[in-house]
Amino acid sequence: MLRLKRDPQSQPNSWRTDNLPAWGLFFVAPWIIGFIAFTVYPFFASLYYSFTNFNIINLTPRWVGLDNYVELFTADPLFWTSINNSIRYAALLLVFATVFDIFIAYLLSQNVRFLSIYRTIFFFPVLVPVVAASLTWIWILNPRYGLMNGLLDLIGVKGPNWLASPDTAMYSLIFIGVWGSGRSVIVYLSGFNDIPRQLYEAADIDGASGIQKFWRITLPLLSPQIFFNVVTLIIFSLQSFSEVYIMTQGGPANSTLLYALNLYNRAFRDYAMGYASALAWIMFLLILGLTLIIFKFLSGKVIYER
Amino acid sequence: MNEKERKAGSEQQLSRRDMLKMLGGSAAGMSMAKIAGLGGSAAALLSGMPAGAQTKVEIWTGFGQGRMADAMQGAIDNFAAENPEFAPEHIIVPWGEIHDRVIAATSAGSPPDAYRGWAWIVGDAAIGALTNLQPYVDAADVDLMDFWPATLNQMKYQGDVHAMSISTIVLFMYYNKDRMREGGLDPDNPPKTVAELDEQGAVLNDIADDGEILRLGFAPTLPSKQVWDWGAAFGSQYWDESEGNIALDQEAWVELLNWYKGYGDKFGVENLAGYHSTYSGNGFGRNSPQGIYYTGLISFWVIGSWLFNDMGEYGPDVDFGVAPIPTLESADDARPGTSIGNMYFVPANCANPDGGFAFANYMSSSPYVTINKALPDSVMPSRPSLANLPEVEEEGAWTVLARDEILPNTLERPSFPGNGFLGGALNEAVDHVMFNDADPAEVIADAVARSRREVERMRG
Repeated sequence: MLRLKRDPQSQPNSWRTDNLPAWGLFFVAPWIIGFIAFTVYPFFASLYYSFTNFNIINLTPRWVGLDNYVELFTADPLFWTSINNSIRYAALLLVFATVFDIFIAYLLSQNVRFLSIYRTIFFFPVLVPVVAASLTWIWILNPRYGLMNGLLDLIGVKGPNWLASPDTAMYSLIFIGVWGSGRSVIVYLSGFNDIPRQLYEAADIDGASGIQKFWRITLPLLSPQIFFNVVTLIIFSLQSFSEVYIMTQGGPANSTLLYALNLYNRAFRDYAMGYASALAWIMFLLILGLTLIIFKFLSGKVIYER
Repeated sequence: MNEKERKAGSEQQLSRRDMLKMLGGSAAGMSMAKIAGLGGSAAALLSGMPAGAQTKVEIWTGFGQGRMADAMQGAIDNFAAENPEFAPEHIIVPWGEIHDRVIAATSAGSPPDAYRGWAWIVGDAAIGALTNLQPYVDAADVDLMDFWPATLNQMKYQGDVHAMSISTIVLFMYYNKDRMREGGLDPDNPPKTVAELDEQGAVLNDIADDGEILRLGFAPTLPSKQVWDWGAAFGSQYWDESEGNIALDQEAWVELLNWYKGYGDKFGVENLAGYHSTYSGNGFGRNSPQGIYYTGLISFWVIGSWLFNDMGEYGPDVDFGVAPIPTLESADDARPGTSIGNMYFVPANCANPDGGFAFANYMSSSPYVTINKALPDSVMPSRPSLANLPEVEEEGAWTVLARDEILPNTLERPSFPGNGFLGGALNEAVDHVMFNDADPAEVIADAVARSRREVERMRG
C-alpha cells in the first residue's frame, strides 16, 4: 500500500519521497497502459499481420510469408504511383512551405502596427478543422464559380480546373498545405526573436548588406528551427490523408493518390488488412530512413550555441 | 395502435417487483450470454423474460432527410405494430459511411441487428461479416421463387441466402424533352442505340469558343462513369460462374474504353473534368432545385430509377422522360445496364439476429413497405408479386417500363468477393485511357488481373 508520510525532519509542506517512484508509476499508469494497448501492441501486431492474409472480420490470419511485400514491389502499380505522388508532394511542400514560412515569419518579426492581428491571421488556418477547411477549398477552387478563378478572371486570366486536372490537382494540394503551415511560422518567429540584435548591429558597422546578413547571421542562427520544421514537415506530409481523401479521393487518374490514402483504401475499402499492414511498414521504414538521412547530413550543420 | 393492440399492451403491464426481477434476470442472462458468446435471442431465454417481452432490434440506414426519412420511419413503425415482440430502434448513418461503420462495428462485436446496403455487399460473406440467413429463410418458409431471378442470385453467396432484398434498382436513361425540342430533336423518339445517343447528344451541346462546356448534351462520365452498366450495354459479362472468377469480355471493354476516350478527345478531357468538378457538389445538387438535372445543364444522363421522384420534387417544371439505357448495336449480348438489389443484411455476431431477420424479411415482403417506402423511393419491388400490385402500376409509367422492359433484360451484377475492387479498377481504367492516353487493351487486362488476385485474397 502506498502512503505519503509527512517527514517530521523537513519543512511543513514537504513529503517523504521513499515511495515517489511507485507513486509516479501509479499516476502515469493510465498513460502507460494506453500506450501499450494502443501503440506498442498495434505496432508489433501490424508487423505480424503484414506477413499474413488477414481481413478485419475473420480474426484468424493466414501466414503468407513475404507474399504481401513481393506483390507490393512487383505487381501493384498503385504502390509505385502512391510512393511517387507522396514523395513529390512532400518534397514540393517542404520547399514551398519552408521558403514561405520563413518569409512570413521574417515579416511578422518586424516591429509594425497591428502585428498581433497579422500573426493571428497566419496562425488561423491551423485552428480550422481539416474537414471544414477542405470543403471550403473545394468551393474556392471550383472551376467556374470559385473565388480563385473569379479573382483570376478579374485580371483577365482563365483559371484552371484546380482539383479536376491531373496537371494542377497536386499543386492545389501543395498550395493548401502551404496555407495551413502556420505552426511552422510560429516556430520560425520564435527563432527570429531569439537572434541577438547586436549581431546585426555589428554587421551593420562592418558594412554588411541585407543579403549578407541573412546568409551569414539569420539563416545559420535559424538552423535549429529549420531542422525541426524540415523533419516534422516530412513526416507529416508523407502521412497526409484527410485533405486528399475529402478533396480528390486520389483523382483525377490517381494523380493525387498519396500513400496514406492508398493504404486506407486497401485496409478499409478492400479489407486487405495484411496487405495494408505491409504498406504501413514500408511507409514506416521510408519515413525512418528519410529522417535518419536528414539527421546524418543536416544535424552537423545546425548551430545550437549562440 | 388499434384497440386490440392497446388491450394486448395493457395485459403485458408489469408490477414493480416483476420489473426488478426481469431486469436482474436480464442482466445476469446477458452476462452469461456474453461469456458464452451467445446471441441476444439466447440471452432472452436465459434471462427468464416473460413471454411477450420486447427485444430491441437496432437498424441502421441512411434515410435521414426528406420524404424518404418519413417513409422509413413509417415502415419501422408499421413493423413495430405488426411485430410487438420487437422494439425497433432506427439509427441514421450517412450512406457513404454505412458499410465501413458496420464492418468496424462487426469487428468490434457490436454491429446493428440489420442494416440497408446494396447487392455487392453480399461479397462480405466471404470474410464472415454476414449472418447466413438460409436457416431463417427455411424456418420462416420464405417463398424465394417470388424474387426476380437476378435479385435472388444477388441475395445468395455460395448458394445460401445472406440478404433480403426490398427493391431492385434498374438504370434509366433520363432525357430532357425541353432541351430536345430546343435542339430540334423529337422528344418522343429518344435514342435507343449508342450511336443515336452520340448523335443526339452532340446536337445539344452548348460549348463556348474556348472549349468550356456551358451545357452538356451527353457525356458518359456524367454524372458518373457507370462502368458496370455501360459494360453491359456494350455486351460484356463480369463473372464466369463455372470458373468461379472474374471474366470480362476483353473486346467489348476495349471498344467501351475507346468510346469513353472519344468523348474525352471531343470535348477536351480537361473541359469535361472541369464541368464535372463545377457541378458535382452534393450529388450534382440532387436535393436542390439548382441541381444539374433540373436546370437543363445536362440533356441525356444515365442514373438509377431512384432519381425519378426527385425529378418531380425538385424539378416539377422540367419535361423529362425515361427510357432503357441505349445499347451497342453490334454487340451480341448487349443489355440495358445492370440491376442492383437494395438489400437488408444481418451482420455476423449481432445481438439480435432473430429480430434482424424478422425486420429484413418484413421489409422485403410487406405490401405496406412497397407502397409507402419503395414507390416513394422510385425503385421496383424485388418480388414480382409486389411489383404486380395495382398501386405499383398506378404509380406511373416508369414502373411498367422498369418491370416489363428493363428488369427482365438487365445483366445481374454478381455478388462476388472483391467486386468493389473490380469496380474501382474499371473506373481507374477509364481515367487512364482518358487522361493518360493509355492502351485500352493493356489497362483492362491489368484491371482484370489485379481484381482476380483480390478475389483470391478475399477467399483466403
